[in-house]
Amino acid sequence: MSLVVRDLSKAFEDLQVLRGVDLTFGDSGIYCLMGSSGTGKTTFLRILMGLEKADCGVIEGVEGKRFSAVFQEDRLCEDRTPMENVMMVAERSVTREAAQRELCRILPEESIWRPVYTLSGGMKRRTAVCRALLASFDILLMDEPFTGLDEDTRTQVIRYVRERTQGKLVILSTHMEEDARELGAEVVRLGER
Amino acid sequence: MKENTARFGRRLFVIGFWILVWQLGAHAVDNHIILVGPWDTVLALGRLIPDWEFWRSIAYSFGKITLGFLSGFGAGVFLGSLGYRLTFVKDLLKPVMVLLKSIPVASFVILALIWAGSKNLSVLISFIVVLPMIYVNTLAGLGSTDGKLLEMAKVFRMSAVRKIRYIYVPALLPYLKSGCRIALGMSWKSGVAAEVIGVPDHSIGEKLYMAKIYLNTADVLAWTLVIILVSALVERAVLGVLGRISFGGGAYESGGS
Repeated sequence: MSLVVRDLSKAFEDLQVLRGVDLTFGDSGIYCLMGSSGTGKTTFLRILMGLEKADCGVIEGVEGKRFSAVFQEDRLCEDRTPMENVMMVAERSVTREAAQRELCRILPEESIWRPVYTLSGGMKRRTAVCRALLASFDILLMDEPFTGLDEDTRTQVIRYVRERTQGKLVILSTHMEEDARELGAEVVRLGER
Repeated sequence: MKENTARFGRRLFVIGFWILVWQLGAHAVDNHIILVGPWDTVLALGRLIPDWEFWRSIAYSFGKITLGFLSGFGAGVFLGSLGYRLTFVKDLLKPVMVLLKSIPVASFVILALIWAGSKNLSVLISFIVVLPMIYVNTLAGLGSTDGKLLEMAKVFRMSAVRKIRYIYVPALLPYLKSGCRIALGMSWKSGVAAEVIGVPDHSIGEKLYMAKIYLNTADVLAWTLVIILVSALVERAVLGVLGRISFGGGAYESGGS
């Protein structure tokens, strides 16, 4: 069943962030939410995650679905290693060896055994992406997941995301058209009617 | 290495300086009832050490005060966690904790003597002193938990055990450590003070009381030295255990497979 959003609105006190949003997402595929700053991309994703309550509107197709996420901030346990951060949320079937293999695809091997607080911003971001991909999920939500990555790393991570999310529904927010192009994603514009 | 040696030398100098001031003070006062010097204190300690009763008193007070501390610590963490989860419990306990913090220890000692006698006095007093400190620190530590990490845990459907281990415990530990540091010192001070008032047999407090009765200042200072040493050792042990909780135990942190 596809994910359908109807007439979704959300305001924070006097600030109307989302107004009557109507969107339909398929069962699988990558969708890029685009729109200038302040158009409610993060709020929309947070409502889907169940972290924010909409003022009105209907969301269909999320009942019983498992979410995974890359948040706007990395939200990692800083005193733990990338390996631990991944394993603490990973699917039961993910073994330690498998997690190590996956992390090493987008991170230098020596970095996966160091506490997160010793890593660079880009390494933390990649850890957050890997954590989201190794958790069990039906729908993956990513809020500007490639922020802070250099060109080569961004391409490497995009390739990795494409490969790991085949047959799944991915909704991600970004400011860059190239992200959507390289991901082969369908672009959804927020705040433009 | 060089820096460590310099630091050790500095520390030694500071200690030596104050021991010298103490010795000079005792020399100036020249009255063994008012003040004895460090050498006389060491001699008094030397006289006490071979006596079986000396070790028995230490074991007795150590056992009682540690029992009071540990039960106060456990109850503080438990009630603090409960208060963090349930506002009703927090509101309910607030006046009790305020009362426990503001009532003078001496009043408690007298009440406890009436209610329970002198045998378990130091257990009760250390418990009463430690409980509110650990309770307040537990509440503050859990209150400092990163809300963004809790949201992350919710989205990833993390189990309660994992949330406690990876999110709550790291937030709580710094507060618990600083609370412990103060509570440990306070439990020894108040525990021994209670023993001096209640005079239970074979306790350090009883020995201090007897030394006071006979105006044996050297013994008072020797026992004080013992209290400081034992309390410092216990503090090291407890903080060491808490340190192991914060940095040990990670199942995936030890390196490659």
